[in-house]
Amino acid sequence: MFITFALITLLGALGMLLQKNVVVAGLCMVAAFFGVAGLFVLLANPVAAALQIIVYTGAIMVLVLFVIMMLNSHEEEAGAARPVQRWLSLALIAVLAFAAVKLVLASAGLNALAVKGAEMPQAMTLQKVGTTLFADHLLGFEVAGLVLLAAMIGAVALTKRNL
Amino acid sequence: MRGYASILLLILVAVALPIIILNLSRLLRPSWPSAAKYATYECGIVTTNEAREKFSVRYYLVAVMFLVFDVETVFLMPWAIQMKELAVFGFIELGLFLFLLLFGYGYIWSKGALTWE
Amino acid sequence: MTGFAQGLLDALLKDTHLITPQLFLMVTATLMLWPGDLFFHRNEKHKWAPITLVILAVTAALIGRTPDGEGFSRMFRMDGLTRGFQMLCVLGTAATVALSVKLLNGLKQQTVEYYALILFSLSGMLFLCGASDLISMYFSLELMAICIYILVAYLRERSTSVEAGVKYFLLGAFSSGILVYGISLLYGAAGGTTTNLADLNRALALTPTTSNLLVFSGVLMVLMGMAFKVAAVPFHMWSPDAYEGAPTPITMFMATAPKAAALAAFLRVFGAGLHGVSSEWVLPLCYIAGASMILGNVTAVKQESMKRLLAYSSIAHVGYMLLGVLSGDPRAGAQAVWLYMLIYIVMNTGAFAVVIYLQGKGEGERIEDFKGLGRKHPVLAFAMMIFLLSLAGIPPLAGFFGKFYLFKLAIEQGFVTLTTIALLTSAVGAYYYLGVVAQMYFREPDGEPAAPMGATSVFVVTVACALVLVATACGPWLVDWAAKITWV
Repeated sequence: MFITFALITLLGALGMLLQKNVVVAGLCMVAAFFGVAGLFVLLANPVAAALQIIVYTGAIMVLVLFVIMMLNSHEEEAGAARPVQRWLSLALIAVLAFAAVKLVLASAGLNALAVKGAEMPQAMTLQKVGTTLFADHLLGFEVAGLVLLAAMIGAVALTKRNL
Repeated sequence: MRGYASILLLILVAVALPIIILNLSRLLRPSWPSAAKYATYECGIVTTNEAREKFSVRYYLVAVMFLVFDVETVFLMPWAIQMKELAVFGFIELGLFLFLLLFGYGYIWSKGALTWE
Repeated sequence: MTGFAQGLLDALLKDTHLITPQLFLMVTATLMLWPGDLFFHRNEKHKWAPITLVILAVTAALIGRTPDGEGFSRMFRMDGLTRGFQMLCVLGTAATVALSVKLLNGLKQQTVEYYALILFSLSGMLFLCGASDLISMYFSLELMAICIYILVAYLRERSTSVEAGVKYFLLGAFSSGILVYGISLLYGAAGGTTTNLADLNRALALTPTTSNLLVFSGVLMVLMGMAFKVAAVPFHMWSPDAYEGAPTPITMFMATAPKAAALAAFLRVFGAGLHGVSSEWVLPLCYIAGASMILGNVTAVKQESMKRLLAYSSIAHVGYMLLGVLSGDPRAGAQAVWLYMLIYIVMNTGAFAVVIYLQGKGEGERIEDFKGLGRKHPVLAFAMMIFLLSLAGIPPLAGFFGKFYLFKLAIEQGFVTLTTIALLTSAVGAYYYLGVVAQMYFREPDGEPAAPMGATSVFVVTVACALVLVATACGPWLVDWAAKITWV
């Protein structure tokens, strides 16, 4: 199951990067988002999975597709101008990927897992989210409202013809 | 994981259905293509331009509003579930949050950003 | 009502007084947008500037009256550090608002949104100064930054402004992602129970050596995300472009208030917070500080635009201030950085006010435009000279005190190589600041004098110049006074 979702995520992300047609690339991104949602379910966090689908595949994708439609670039992009940069970035990615794998293999959690064997984590529920969100993170919650308000004002300030 | 079997089934059916329908019809239908049949509107209306038309920037505001209120519902969900337990406290807190957002809505309205100019 | 909710309500009522300044800003800014804006006709929006200044004055008074304490599940902490840097943020914001009036009038771009966004951004900064938890640090950082992205792109008819906004936004969003990733790694490394800085520090110090790599990458990513916000090398790429393209008052805003808030967060997270794992971040931070000093100062030499020059110089100044973060003594570090930041804000405000004064209708910000200023506007040129010499840190001006104090601290803490770099690059810095002074006094003016503008700008220049001179005169007294504050 994990492999399936991981593959969906990875292929979606790769497809998004390699696809020349922006609309198809956008749809690949949706696939990647769905894969991530599946991974959240496997991590016993259905709340995060639902949010992933509502916010990312719902709202964020609307904005992304909107931008694609607005720019409406039919011309396919030319390849990278400087191959040196491409090679450099590939090398950097290889180093980062190597470091990430090493990080996971070296982590204390994995060692503990090898000794004790896997145990199912307690599922995250909306009740728990509600309690922590409204009790411990109340300040963050209100500031999030403020951020959303600022975003709305910004959208008006940047696009409205006559303020 | 058991609770997710039905969701998985739903996804599988949703993916399989169009594949089955399209392929089935491909197998069953007769196929004699001609130029007229490949036109966008088979009924005879001549296409004038592409369907991928440039969107107006005015949609942007709508898209952002949708995003903002979408995120707002996400915050409402845990509150609705914990409503009894949080009682007045949660009500005050959420009231403030909703006030900020509804205020933003009122602001956009009063600016006339909702009218199509 | 359940006991649970009653307890929460009591805690809320008990803690609210800690954030009265922010609440006040929130309420007034929203009221300004609606219904406040309905009372002003389209061409009297400039009246919002004095109202904003009054709001800022009240905010400053409220900050002064807020008692020490910690609250909101230990998300926000009010102490000397918070209060001191909050005051600096208000100071920088007030200067920005005062300088905005004429420029926006000239461009016919006066709106209430401009001032409201500045106030929203300020409330984010006030939260950031007191954030004692990585989560609260992150969201206050976002509130501050989102408003600034919009403000940078505020002159949307001008392509440079929009370009600067987009560049800043994309890189800023990317760096926020890195910051959050780093926070989540630290959260995981500490056992997935807390993001509170004090608890995190305790938990991370106890982690077994096998998970060192995890802690290291987490700390490094948090460091990267925050270094981006203060524009330290190598995360400075956005700053010259954003500084150049933004409306000049916003450039000044970015160089002062958010920088003060981000440095407060730096002091709190690294100086006071994660000292238990200081072995992980001291060396990278040393490199960042050193690179900022060298690259900032050396690149500034070749700049032709005054705004870009000030951008690179602010990168260099951040490099100096990071010395204070590095110091193992959070109290002395906070005091030194605060003092430096205070003086830096005043000098920078003055220098930008002169640029805005000369700018006329938004053009003419090249260094060449300062040619012969000493003859055209002797008083203005004198003030500019004071600011530039002070920025260069030439004794006995105020800028020297800040630097001296900071470098002394760094030497005491054993950062000899870094302090040597700082001293050498200060000399390079003096070269380009003096280059501008030479333009003003030793070159003949040519062409029409640019249409100077703004009584407010003159006022700001006068006040800033007076403050620099006063600070010069009472530098030691200022240091003594700052030492009396309980910082952390």
